[in-house]
Amino acid sequence: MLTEPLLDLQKLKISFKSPFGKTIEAVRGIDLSIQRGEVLGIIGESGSGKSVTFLSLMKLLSPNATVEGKAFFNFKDNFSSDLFALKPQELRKLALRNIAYIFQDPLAALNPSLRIGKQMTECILEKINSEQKKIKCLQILEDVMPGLSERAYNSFPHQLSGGQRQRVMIAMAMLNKPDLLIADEPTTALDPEVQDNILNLLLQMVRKYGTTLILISHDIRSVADFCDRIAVFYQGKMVELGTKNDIVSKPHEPYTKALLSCRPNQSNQGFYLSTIKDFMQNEVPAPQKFPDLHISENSLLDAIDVSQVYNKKFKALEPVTLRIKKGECIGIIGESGSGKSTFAKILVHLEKPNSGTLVYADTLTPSKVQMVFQDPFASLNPAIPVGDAIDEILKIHQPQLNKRERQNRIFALLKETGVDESLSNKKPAAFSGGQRQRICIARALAAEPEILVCDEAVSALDISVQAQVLNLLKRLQFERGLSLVFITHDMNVAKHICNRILILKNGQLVEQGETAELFENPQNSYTKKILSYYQA
Amino acid sequence: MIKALASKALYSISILWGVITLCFILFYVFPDAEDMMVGQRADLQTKQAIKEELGLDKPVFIRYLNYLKQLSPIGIFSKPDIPKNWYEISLSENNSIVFKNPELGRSYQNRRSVVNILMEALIGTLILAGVAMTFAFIIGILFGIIAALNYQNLIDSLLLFLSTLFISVPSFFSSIIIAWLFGFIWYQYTGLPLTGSLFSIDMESGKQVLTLSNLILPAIALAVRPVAVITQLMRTSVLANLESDYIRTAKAKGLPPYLIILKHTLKNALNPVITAASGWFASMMAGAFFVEYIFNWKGLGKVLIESVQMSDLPVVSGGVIYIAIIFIIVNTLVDLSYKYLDPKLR
Repeated sequence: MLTEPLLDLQKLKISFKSPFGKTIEAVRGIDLSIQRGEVLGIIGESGSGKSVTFLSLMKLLSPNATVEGKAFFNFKDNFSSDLFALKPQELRKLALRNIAYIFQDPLAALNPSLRIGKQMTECILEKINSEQKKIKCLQILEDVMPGLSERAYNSFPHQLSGGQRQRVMIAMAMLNKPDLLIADEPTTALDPEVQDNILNLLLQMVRKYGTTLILISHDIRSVADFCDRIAVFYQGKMVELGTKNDIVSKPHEPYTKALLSCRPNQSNQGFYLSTIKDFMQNEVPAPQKFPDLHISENSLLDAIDVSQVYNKKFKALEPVTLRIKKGECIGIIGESGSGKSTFAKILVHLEKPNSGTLVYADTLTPSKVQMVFQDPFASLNPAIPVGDAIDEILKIHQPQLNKRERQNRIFALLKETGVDESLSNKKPAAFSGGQRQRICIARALAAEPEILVCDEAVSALDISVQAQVLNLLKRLQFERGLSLVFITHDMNVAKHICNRILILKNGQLVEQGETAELFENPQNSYTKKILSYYQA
Repeated sequence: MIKALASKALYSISILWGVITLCFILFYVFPDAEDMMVGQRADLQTKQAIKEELGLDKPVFIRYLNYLKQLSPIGIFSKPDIPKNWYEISLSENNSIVFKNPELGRSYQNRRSVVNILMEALIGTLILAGVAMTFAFIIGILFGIIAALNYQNLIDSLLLFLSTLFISVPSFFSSIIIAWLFGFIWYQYTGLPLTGSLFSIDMESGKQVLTLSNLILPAIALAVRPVAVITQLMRTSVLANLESDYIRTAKAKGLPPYLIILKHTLKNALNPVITAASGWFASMMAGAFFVEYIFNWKGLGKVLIESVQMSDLPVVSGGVIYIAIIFIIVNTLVDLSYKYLDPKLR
């Protein structure tokens, strides 16, 4: 017998009105049925409408959003009603009983000034006294974080770690045993070691209570194993829907194929990555192999025993020694708090090390070591046209150039990094995230650096854009003989791009070696541990 | 915690010391105090006598030390100088360490102890300022929330317009208008007196009676600007909070709107408001001077303005020191309240 779907989206359209009267269509007609008890993965990049679609169910969108279409929700007694037609108080009742959410950033999603216990007990529907409410909360907390339930119950959100906070969010969502749980990028803000644990826990909890799970993510590889079916969203439409195996092993749509092969993986090792643009053409061009690498024997920059101490007692970085040679790409890997960003700041002279020295080769000056930052939205001044931002650097580092020569340099740099040079008088708002990161790279190149330090430079980017930026950096390494120091928490990216890898943990260097050797034959137990996540 | 408290105490004491030194320079080094005490008619001998009595013939540095000694609750004095009500520990034959109340000297005008004069006045001011500030916080927070919830519609615009207007009106002007309208023109409806203090003399019995109705108009006059300021701060703060992720979580949980506001928005929104409003305590006190003067309310402001008019230096300098102490205490309390509102600071 075919049962009614739990949630049936029909011709869903969502648009936003901007303050200047422009209408932006975020979701452009989605039909999707979700079966009771399944785990459905929703995959898409930013702007695909994947989050907006499911936020609209509980009217969580900003007031300038217009929602059209129907969303039938099937209550337990086989009675369906359109969520968009419900009155606010009916919707609230539904939210408490039937539909729960988990969001991306658990620190922002929990109220900073209320204890966890208070935030949990307010969701309880039954008319029971506060002691019984507490027992109920502790029971479910014990499920998600054994042995820590009492502590978590009495804590403020900032007193818990990122993973613990997300566990609390899961407990809170499952408190009323909802029919549907919508998890919007639940692990994106967490360290990779914690991600799988959280996803496993999520799966275990929904199985236990028979809850249907919608798992929204930008990364098809990291969630595919947990899903029964996967839907791929692209530019406000659902481009493909199928079982997990169909989508991962024999995708039909070019976009799905692109998503699967844009990420660095075993098969595209040593090749430039394919991009979405490649797949959207009729004939997919064959990936290009990396040219031969030439690393000179002489060192460019030696960091000798550099260490950093903050506030006289917090040891952010224990003494680390690193020799950077011309033309190589060095990866620095570590979770948050490992000291990797501190090390980067010391290399580019943004911070003075507490002890240790930087020894430069004769040809190198500190200004020849430049940096690219993680967030391209925050690292460009929104008020300055991008051409002027690059011009600023040229004026300082190449004062001999006249205005015309500088203009030509700006065009050349933008062209080299793949940005349309005719847009050089536009402000950053006119560019997408990937283009902004290219502009940041162009700006760093304006100082004619020999070493480029990239601090999580691709972590904030969508997967297809990430591939483009990685290709660009790799090309710069080969064409300019640029040395790269690439800081990341992503083992896939590191393996793809780096020649040599350093692994940091809690400010200490735990292991370093050639990439291939380190991946095949790790010595340190911590390295083995993070590599096992990578291989899984 | 103890370290933080100690550094806070040290900081407060150094500020107080600075204020005291400034007072000394302003009120005791420059002016000829004996002229002010006796007026124009006195002869030289009288002036000399006063000078000697006050120690004004001594060098400035000695006078400064004496001034500090007089103010400090601990000090070393020679035994014959020590009055009976001071607590002393004998050091040697002639000297003792003394613990005493800080002394501010006596009024030039009526020879009453300055401490007594100011203490009496302080109570009046504290009651007035306390009532006004409580009123301002309750009404301001309420209006701020109402404005934020009606963002960009008529009610919001009206509240924004009124609060901008009231921020711009100086307190002496609003005091006069309020006194004139409610205490004079509409007296028959309000029944509120034009002027008066917390205690008034009963005409028949001649006894002092508590007259709370005298408090209403000055408190409102003093609260006008803080209400307007807090309304605007609260509005901005609530709007920013309603955008945050944890409000989305609360909505997703299905909480009713009133709980989202009361439980999830209020406490987080209050923190920046208190931070900013505490800066306004300063101008509150300045406002209180005029309000007290216009409503003839017996308080620190009125006493100080009268003392300035009569060049009663000990009262003026004592008043300034009192106000400095009040500021230090208020700021410390504000610091402590952050810790309650923002658990990350605990």
